[in-house]
Amino acid sequence: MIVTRATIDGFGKWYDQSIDFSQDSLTCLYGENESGKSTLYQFILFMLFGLPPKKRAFFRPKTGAKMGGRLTIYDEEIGEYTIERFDAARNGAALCYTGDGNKHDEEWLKNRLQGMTFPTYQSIFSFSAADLFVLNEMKEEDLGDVLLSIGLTGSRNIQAIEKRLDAQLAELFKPYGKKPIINKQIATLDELHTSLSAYEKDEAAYRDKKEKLDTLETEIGRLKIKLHEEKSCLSAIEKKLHALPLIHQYHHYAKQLAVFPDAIPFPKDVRDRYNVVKEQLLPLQSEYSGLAANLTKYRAKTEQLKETKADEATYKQVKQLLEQSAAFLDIEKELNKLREAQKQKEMQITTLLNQLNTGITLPDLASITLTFHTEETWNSLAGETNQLELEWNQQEQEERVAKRQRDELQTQQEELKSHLLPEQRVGELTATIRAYQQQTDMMNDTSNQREWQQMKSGKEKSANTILAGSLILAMLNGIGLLFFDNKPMLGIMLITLIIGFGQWFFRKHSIKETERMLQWRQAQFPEPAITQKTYEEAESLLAFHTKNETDLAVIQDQLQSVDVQFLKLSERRNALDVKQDRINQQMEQQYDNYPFLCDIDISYWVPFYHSLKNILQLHEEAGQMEHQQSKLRQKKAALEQNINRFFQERNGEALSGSVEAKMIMLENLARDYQQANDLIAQYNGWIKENIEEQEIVEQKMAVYQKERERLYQAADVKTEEAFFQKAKEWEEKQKISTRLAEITDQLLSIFAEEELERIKTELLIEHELKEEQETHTAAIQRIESELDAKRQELADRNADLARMESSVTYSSTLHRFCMEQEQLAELARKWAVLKTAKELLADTKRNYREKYITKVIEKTSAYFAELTNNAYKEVFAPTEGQLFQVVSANDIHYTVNELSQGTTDQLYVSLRIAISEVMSEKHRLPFIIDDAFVHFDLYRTKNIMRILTKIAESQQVILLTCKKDLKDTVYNGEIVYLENTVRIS
Amino acid sequence: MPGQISFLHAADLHLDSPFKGLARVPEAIFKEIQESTFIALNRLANTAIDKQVDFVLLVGDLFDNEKQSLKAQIRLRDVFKKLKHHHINVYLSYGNHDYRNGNKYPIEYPENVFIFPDETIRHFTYEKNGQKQAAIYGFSYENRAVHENKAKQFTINDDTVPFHIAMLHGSLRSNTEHDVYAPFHLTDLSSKGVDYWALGHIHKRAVLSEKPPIVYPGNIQGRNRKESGEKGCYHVVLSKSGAKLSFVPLHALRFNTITKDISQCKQPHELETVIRNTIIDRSIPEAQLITLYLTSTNPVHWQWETDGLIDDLTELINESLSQQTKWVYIYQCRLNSTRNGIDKSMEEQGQHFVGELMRHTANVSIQPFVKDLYQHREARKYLERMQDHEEESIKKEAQQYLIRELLHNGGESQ
Repeated sequence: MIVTRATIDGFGKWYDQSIDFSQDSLTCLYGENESGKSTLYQFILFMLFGLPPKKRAFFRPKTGAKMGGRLTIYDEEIGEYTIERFDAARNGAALCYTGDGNKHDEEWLKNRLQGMTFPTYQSIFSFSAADLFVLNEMKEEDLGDVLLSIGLTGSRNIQAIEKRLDAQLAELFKPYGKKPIINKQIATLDELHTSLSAYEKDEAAYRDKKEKLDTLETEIGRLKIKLHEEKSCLSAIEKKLHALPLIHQYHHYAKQLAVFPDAIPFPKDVRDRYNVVKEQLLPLQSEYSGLAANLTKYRAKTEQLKETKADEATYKQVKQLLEQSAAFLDIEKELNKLREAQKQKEMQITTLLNQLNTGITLPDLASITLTFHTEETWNSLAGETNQLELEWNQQEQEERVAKRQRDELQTQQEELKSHLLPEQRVGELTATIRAYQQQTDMMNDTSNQREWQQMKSGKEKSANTILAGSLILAMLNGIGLLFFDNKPMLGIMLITLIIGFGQWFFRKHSIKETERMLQWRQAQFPEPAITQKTYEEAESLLAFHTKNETDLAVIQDQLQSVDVQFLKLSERRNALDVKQDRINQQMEQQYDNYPFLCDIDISYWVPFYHSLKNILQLHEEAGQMEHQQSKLRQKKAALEQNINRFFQERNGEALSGSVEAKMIMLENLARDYQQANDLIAQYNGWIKENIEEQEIVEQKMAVYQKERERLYQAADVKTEEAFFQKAKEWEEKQKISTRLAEITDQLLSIFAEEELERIKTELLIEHELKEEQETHTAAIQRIESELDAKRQELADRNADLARMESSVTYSSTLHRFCMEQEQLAELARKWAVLKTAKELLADTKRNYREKYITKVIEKTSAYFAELTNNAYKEVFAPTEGQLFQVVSANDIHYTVNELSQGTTDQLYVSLRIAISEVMSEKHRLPFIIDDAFVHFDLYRTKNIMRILTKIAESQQVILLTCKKDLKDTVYNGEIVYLENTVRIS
Repeated sequence: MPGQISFLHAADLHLDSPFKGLARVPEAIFKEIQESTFIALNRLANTAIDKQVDFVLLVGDLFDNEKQSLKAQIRLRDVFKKLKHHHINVYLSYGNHDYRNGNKYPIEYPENVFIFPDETIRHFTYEKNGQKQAAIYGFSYENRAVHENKAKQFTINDDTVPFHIAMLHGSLRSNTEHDVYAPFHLTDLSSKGVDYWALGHIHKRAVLSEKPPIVYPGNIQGRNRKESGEKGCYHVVLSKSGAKLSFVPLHALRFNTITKDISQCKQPHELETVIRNTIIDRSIPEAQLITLYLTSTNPVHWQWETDGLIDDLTELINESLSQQTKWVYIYQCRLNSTRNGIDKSMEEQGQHFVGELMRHTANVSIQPFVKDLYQHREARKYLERMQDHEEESIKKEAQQYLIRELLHNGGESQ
């Protein structure tokens, strides 16, 4: 493939340019720096491979020309064609025009380029100074490797890729690591797996648990059946126990029943009928027997009455006596009345006597006789005595008064005598009085002194007042002076004081003067012998004495008259004594006649007389009553005698006891007789009645008795006793049968019929039953507790199963485990991809190297020798730990970093040329070198030009340079001078 | 209606068995995923109740013995109880995953559940109102595998029953994608005079034949990337005139694989928008787990991937979309770089390093490379043996990585 022409419409600084490459296969483009060589190079690349928009934009011409152009290419297969690209058109995509006039698109171009890409092309078929420059920046040690990598792959990043792969792999997984992602994932899975196994095991236990559950349920079922059996056994026993008394009773009654004959000829209602008959018969019988008994009684009574009844004669006698006894009763009554009246009288007398209280008793009364003058005598005696007593009283009165008068007078006389002054004293007193009377006449003017005293006190008072006034005034002045400092005032004060004190002193002085004068006058008179007081005393004493003497004389006169009266009184007393004696004689006489008068005061003798007279009269009346009584008593006695005689006759002896009792007896006799008669008649009536009734009853009884006989026959008995015996027997059997039936009924309510039949034949003993009951109860308890335990276990297991059934732990863990496993698989896959890539890369590298390195190095050696003009004859590819090595003509080995920059460049160029030659056998794309030979000397330049010329024979070479010498060495090629900058020397 | 019966036909419930290929998902989604098979199961029950079907057929693989959880069977029992309450029978046979002898838990199902007890083909007669309505034939796996042709052993033995339904957990002899159990030919089935063949084992829904209906209902909840789309059961109404089948979706969430060319995205935010628009599909009513395959010819995207930018973007989108109730979660996102011509030319380019790499890659086995991890004493316990296709895929990815690094990123970065 040859690039024949480049037509640039606009690209970077280039526009409307057309460069022809067709002359020769080696084209040298010369241009100085900044002449646009590199831009041209980029243009060719752009035309071939296109450029991304950014880069296109970079090359957009500043002039505004449209960016793009055409590249005409000659292809050995299809001839010439033109690639057209414009930035603006088709987004920089190529449009190819072939010689036959067809248009083709980018894909077609790519096919033509045989898949060559921009980077590949760049790395194989072109290089520039910049590439070399980049190399120089690389570490010298790496140079060999880098050279190789470029050479082998067309890029320089295998190492980087390997490094990155390693890093990524290490991040993912290390066989013995812990931190890498996959290792961690494995750890996670381990963990999950462990728990999963645990959960799995847990869930796997489900079957066992379920089976155990089934076993348990079966067991519980079995226990339930057993329990039921036991319970029914127990209840049977309990029923038996419960019914045991009944069963015993049953047997008891059954035994009793066996004693009775099978059949007893006793019709069922006979007993009832008999009872009915008997019920009817019994009252009749009792009535009949009652009647019979009454009859007997009546008859006996009648007989008895007849025996005891008195005879007729006696009855008449009694009647007569009873008539007499009526008179007797009257007498008795009269007697009693009289006795009562007499008693009353006597009581009256006694009362009156008691009232008199004179010691006179009832019997005394008979001896007392009062005469007609007695009353008169007693009356006069009483009058005289009374008169005398009055006179006595007057006498004593007068004597007592006279005596008291005399005593008083004597007392007064004594008193007066004690008050009389002795004769001497009276003389003294009289003398005193006389002396005093003389003295009084001299002492008349002493009264003036008293007047002076009064005047003096008045004067002193006024002097004091004036002094006080002047002092106050002076003080006021002083105070005023304190405040006003006034000299006249001081003067006034002083004057006031002086005046005050002056008048005070003056007055005092005058008073003293006057007093002195008065005292002097008093002293002129001598002291008197009798004072006025003494005079007055003496005068009053004398007056008193004189009065006492007068009174005493009066009293002595009175005493003399009292003595006279005493004499008169004594005479009268004698007269009275004589009179008294006479009266006493008369009274004594009366006392003899009527001794009871001794106790009675004479003044009461007259009323006493009247009372006594009354009493005596009453006494007489009582005596008459007594008399009447005695008469009646005689009559009464006669009657009594009659009665007594009757009883004596009747009984043969006299009856003691009162008449009244006897009379009652008589009355009783009469009454008894009559009563007996009445009763006999009554009884006779009853007897008759009774007999009639008996007959009726007998008839009634006969009916029932007949019926009874019939019943006896029915019961096959003769007597009632036998009948009842039979009835009792029958009833007892009946009762036992009924009881048995009852018990059977009760038992049937407990047991079924056949069960009962069996039980009847069994021998049931209580304690055995109880033992059995206990055994069953214990069994039931045991089974129940076992059942409870099992049920609990069942519940637990059910809960456990329910828990398991509701548990999602295993399920979710499983899901998680699977997911993590997937994650691992994905990571593993990622790792596998990277690992594969790494291994592939390494393999390929190795293969590649092995395959191409020899060829490349051979060619490189050849070119390098040529370039260096055989200074170096051989090149060795880098081996492990070693860089490129070159061998000089003299067999010295150099490593690449020992070479000069120029030699290195030469080596690089040789390498690139060798590579491109080896690699591009198929492609034969134009080889573009952009100023790669800057460091080459002329000689070497010539050599490389020679090489390039040689290469150009089979492959187009485009050389961009700014070196003239290079240009000069190109002999076989065409030199194109780039416009504007082209200079040809 | 007289003269017809209706039932639900479901299989491969795989209750509570973990999902495949789901690495890290947020906790909430993880919970939903965990619960999804049960939700689908409940929906199955509710569908049966709503549609008042006569019975439900469950043709094997109700759960996985190997990852068996008690929860799975308890939930199953609870659902059966619910169905019993509505007088709906359940006929179930065990398959290769829930084979009888491997069942760890003796859960008792209610009496409306009829289980085929062993590998002998037996039948239950379904009666309604005292009338025989249908004979249901089937067998259960006693052990892990049944290799004989069980289809041939089915025979109808009571002609008085109006409908005959056969339950068969197995696969076509010709099907090599799955483990072949109880293999059969279609003709084995169609010749039997059975009114409906209720198949199980294959998770992808398929009607193998219309007359008579020979049906795989698929599983009721997708559990990996491959089991994408709607999942559920068939509601079948059998009458003398024929069978009416309607599919009832039951899945709680669905897997979705989406491929998108992103060559035109020049900026990461553009990519984000494109991805968002791609994965949000309003017509899908459920939550989604998405495998996203991005294809691009734009080299910049490789750079993005290398820089982890695409992962970041995915994470960003996941964060915002997984919060909603009807969440969408991208659990796998791969960039497929189609290098037009380049790979080819590189290969052809004999002397290139990359060419050399490719040639070498084509022939080499990666097992020695990865043995460090895959043979690792601890790791290998949890790592499955690498499948051939997996190996190829890893190799390819490694190669792509290297090319990208060597040529593009490397070249550009200079």
